[in-house]
Amino acid sequence: MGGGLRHMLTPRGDRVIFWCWLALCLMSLAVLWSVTEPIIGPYENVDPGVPKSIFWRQMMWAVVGYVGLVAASRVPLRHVDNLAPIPWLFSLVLLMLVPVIGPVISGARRWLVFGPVSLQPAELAKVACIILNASLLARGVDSQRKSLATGATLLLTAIPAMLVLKQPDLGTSLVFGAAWVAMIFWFGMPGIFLLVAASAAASSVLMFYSEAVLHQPWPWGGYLLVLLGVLYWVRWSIPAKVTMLVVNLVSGIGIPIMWAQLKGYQQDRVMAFFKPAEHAFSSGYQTIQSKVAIGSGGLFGTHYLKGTQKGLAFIPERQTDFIFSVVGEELGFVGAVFVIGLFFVMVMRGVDHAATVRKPFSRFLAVGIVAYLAFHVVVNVSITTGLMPVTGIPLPLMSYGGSNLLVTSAMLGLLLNVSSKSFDV
Amino acid sequence: MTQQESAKVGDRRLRIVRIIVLGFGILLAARVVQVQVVEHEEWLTRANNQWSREVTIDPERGNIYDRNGRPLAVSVTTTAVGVAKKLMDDDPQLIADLARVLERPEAELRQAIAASTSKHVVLARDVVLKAEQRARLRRWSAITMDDYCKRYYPTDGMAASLVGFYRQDPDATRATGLEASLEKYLAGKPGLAKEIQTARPGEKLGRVILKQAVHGRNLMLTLDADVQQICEQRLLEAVAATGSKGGSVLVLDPATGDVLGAASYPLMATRADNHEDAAVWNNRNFTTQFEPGSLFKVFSGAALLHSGAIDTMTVIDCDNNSGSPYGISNDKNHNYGRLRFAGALSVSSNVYFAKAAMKLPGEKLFGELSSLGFGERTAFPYKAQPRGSLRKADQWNGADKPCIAIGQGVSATAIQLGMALCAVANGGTLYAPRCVKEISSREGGAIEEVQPVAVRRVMAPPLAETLRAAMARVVHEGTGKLTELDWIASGGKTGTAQKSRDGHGYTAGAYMASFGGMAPINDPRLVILVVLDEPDWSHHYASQSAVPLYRDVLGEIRRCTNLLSDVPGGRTGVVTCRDTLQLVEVPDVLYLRGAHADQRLASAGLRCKVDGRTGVVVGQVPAAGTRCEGGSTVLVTIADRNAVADAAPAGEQCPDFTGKSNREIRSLAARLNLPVIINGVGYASAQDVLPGGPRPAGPVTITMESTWN
Repeated sequence: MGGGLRHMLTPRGDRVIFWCWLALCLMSLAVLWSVTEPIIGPYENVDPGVPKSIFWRQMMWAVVGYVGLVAASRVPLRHVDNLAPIPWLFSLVLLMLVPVIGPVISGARRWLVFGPVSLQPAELAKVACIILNASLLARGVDSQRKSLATGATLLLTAIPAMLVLKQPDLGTSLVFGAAWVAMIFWFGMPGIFLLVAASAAASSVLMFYSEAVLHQPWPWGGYLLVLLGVLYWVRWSIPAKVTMLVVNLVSGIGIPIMWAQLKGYQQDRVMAFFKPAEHAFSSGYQTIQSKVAIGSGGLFGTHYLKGTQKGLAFIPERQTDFIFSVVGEELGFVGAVFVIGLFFVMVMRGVDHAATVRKPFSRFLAVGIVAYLAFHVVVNVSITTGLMPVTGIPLPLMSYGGSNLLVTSAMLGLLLNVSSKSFDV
Repeated sequence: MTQQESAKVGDRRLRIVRIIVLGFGILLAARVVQVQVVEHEEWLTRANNQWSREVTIDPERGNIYDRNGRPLAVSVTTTAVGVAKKLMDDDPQLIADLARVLERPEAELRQAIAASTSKHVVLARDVVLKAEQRARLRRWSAITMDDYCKRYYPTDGMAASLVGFYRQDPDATRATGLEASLEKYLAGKPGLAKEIQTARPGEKLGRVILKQAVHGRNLMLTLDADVQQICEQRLLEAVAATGSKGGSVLVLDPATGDVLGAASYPLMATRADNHEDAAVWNNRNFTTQFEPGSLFKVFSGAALLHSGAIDTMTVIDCDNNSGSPYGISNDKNHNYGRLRFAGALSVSSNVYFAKAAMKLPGEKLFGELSSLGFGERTAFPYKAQPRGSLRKADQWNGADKPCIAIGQGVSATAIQLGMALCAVANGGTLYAPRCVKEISSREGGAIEEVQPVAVRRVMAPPLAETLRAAMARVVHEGTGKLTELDWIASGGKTGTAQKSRDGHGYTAGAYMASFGGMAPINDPRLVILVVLDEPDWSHHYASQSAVPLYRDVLGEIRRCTNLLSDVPGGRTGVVTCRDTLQLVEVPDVLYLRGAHADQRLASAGLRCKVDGRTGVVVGQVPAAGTRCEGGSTVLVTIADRNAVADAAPAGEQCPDFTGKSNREIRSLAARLNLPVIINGVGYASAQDVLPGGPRPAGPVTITMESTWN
């Protein structure tokens, strides 16, 4: 009987990933406790600016997340595979409901509120989309119509992604893209496509930099000249070379048009990234404050509960998107690297399982989950350390937020589920 | 694609993925290293600057008092009260609180705030806030209170050139006089505090003191404000009477070297208007060197007697054609015949001193004079004091020695001459001039007395006595005859020196008239040195200008201070000198009708100012019998006769003076015909006879407390 209960309460699969999950959840609670406590110093009873209630709520969600993790690690994967369209459709319905009944919170409609519970359908859509894509790709892996499977997944990913983008939530919509690219790559998309996509991205960024920041043509022009030189020397077919060139030209020239489509605050954030000093009190404020906090932490930090940038409310959104700044300030370089290391270990283990597991569905599922996790971590840490413009992306498991914690835990549960099969080849 | 090929492709892709993951891991770690380790200091500084601001805590500047504790310069912590418009909400209580504390109508404040275009509006400066008022204003984040130290000079223009000023201008701190030279005592050391704020606008958490400020120390000067007042008043009159360009009066205590008074012309009536004219701020007693002329014969005489070149019995032919060195002649070419030392000093014979000096080697004369402090800056803490000029003997040419003996070719400041005179007066000890008598901490404790500093003995008492006797003869029968007073025996020496022009030659008609004297001559209490710069031709002799000034100052000190009240000898009981103030006795006008009182006061040469409408006089200030200057205003309080009983109900009881101002006390006391002694300044805080107690036979002593602290 005891064995049965234990069976019910513990996850199976890769212990390392589980311990990492647990460590991150505990660290999250510790940091959230600090965020909601008045600073310790010669100046007492300073309003921490974040209510204590969020700590207790996160603790509750961690328990719920644990249940999700255990359940996901134990559910038979073939049922997940077979029922894949259901969560996708469900999440799509919720996503479509958001613009209709969702409340406007700080200029965006992202939540659905059901009594005391409010959730972000976009979080659910992410995991549903990954499961559905894995299911489709697994069915297409041995067929001759790989491109059909690729096209289908692109369509099925684009629909929720566009809905999320409309909320607006640029960061989350990019997650869909990132997971899709990773899964397609694992699916066996020719490397040249990725190269073309990467060069298109480079072309866009450089065009933007030339046009909006420097107001000089040489960065994009120089890039184009280099590209032409490379295309001249490389032994590709003529159509491939022409495609490459056209894609680059279109993505470069298309950028100013895209730029005009962005919301004002999105434009500001991007500009603030390129010229932070000019936006120090507006859009660049968050980036600068985050860097100040992390940088002032130094090697060992200002010590737990004693961070001034946190305690005196300088770090914006310190309980959610900028929680890494609090880690950097109070726990220093040691704490920051520890957090990054935990994620790194989870991702590396996930990649191993994706490579070794036999069933295609499991493989693609693992890749999608790993890409989801890695993208979140890389983007969030890049934003908080000033490597990227600000976009609303939480740090998984650390940031305050029930939906994200539950979804991430469930996805890691699925990864554990996959891992339990991966070594018994 | 076979299974194997597919596996191969899978392997390659796995490698690529691992490299990408590792790459991102390294990228993030490297970025964290860059921000947290490499750029740590920069970000930490930035963080500290955001939440804290290091502010200096200004120390309170020490106060300056005269020797009787009268404040000459005091520091008051005042506050500039303002509002930050951005943080103001519409709560009417804010304006109400401001209006209550600043004692201004609400509408006026509202208008001032609305009219200003700047974000921060300063509503009032120099406000002295009580703790309760401070607490009231602190409740509003929009209200700003900036404390700063303000310097007040209660005596205004009096002694201004000596005390100097201290002013914190935006660009620099400016100070002159003692305010500048006693900076090390007055300034204190600034403290350091951290002002802490959060990211929320306007939220200040207060300050954490890192280092307490050390307040400046209070100084009690040797200066006597009464003496200073007398000197300034008399100097002003003398300059006007003699048509001088300038002048100075220095009063010293020979027993200690205390500087009791140091007046310098130009004087200032009030400080505010004269800041830019630099000459006003120079006290000539310390900054101006001049050729002392015959006054110097006291010191060359001391040198001659001390070195044994002559003695008091040495007789020298003082005729002009008797072979005087370098053709030096007596003033107005008088032929004085054969004179001894005292006689020669009394008529100020140039020939005597020139001939006598030729008997003394130059080095010897130089040594004697420099031991008296000439050519050497005094220790008085006043900046820009010249050394005076006394060249070394090896730089003298032929005529220099006899010239120096009669006070030419040598220059000195009034303070140097005064200190040398003190040595003669006190029996031969040269003192350093003492400026500060007591140093105390601002909190009131730990008084440190500054002892007089005797620099050296410069002559034996008998020699000093000989010189004093000779100086007494100057007053008795010589050039200082006008100073002879029948109530005190005084001694001194005149000096009438032509002003030199850049050290080469002399300016025709421009003289420095000086008189250095001491009284009483047998046991000198005071040394007074007066100098008048370029008196007009009819007063150019010291005996016509400096001597009367000396006499007036001495007489006034005798009459108005306690410094000479118990002088033995002389007829001290009777003041016979000219009563320039023409004091009149205030008549008793109590219980007279207003018009009648006015008439009676006018007939006594006084003016009348009436307070009240109908009824009879129930109070007068000053009280009847007081002696005051002719033309003074007597303040008369008129009330209904029946109200008199209320105003002064207790004929047999001692009234309550506490909380009343000096004027109110005197008014009430005068009304009750109750003598009072008022100690201190400010408002009454205590009285030795309890209010309501039986009316005392003697005076009631009232202790005043100033609100400055």
